[in-house]
Amino acid sequence: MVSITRWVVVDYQHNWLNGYFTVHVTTDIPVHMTMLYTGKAVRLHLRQKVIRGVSKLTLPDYCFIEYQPLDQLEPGDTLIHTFTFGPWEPGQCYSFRFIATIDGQPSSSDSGIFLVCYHDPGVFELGIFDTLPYLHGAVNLKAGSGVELNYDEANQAIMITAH
Amino acid sequence: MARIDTLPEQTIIDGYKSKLDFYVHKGQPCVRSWPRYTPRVPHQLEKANQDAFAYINKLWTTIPPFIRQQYQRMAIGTDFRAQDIFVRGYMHGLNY
Repeated sequence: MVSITRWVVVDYQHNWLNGYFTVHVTTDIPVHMTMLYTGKAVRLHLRQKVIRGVSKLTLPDYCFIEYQPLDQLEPGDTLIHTFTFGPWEPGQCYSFRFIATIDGQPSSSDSGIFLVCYHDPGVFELGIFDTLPYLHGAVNLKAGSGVELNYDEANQAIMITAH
Repeated sequence: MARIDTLPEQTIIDGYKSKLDFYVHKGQPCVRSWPRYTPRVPHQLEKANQDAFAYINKLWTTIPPFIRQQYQRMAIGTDFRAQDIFVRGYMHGLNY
């Protein structure tokens, strides 16, 4: 049975356009979401308590600090929620989570912490020559750019450089 | 319930499983008869919580792998499964 005071993320899609990050999140019930994002690494603090004389770990504290709130683009309570921010630098990572209100009332439900890193789409690895004498791959090149092939003898690799 | 001086060894405790229940109450070792489950019709709010719990556990198997991976990452270094954290986040929220 679906609770009317709790929500959960049931689908997630993200992409980058010119370094700007866009995420589409779907929830099981209509809510109004806020994304909290941070560039700081999330640390884990373990907690324990004594149950029947035996010390056991409880659910840890996740140290989610120095975050920025970002409201969803859609007005009101919705099933699909869109957020966008940026630009991201290649190699940059962000952690984010979601909180939500239902009819303006805060909900106790929380999402998990999503960790996403932005990889430069121009940098790729085809793999290692093994049993096959060729490798397949594709790379997006900007109009007017060229490709340079160099043999790296030390690593026995072919370096493909786009410029 | 009876107070005892010390808890017996774990193998002895295990041997009395479903007959005697050994536990510690405020530092005092105790033993009691094994608790009996007497089913009854749950209260309305209790039933709502049970239904929500069943719903979210069933949902765990259908969420996309990317979301599941995030919870698996959160569970590393803890005594909990990724599903436990997912359920907890839905039922009560997480400790942030």
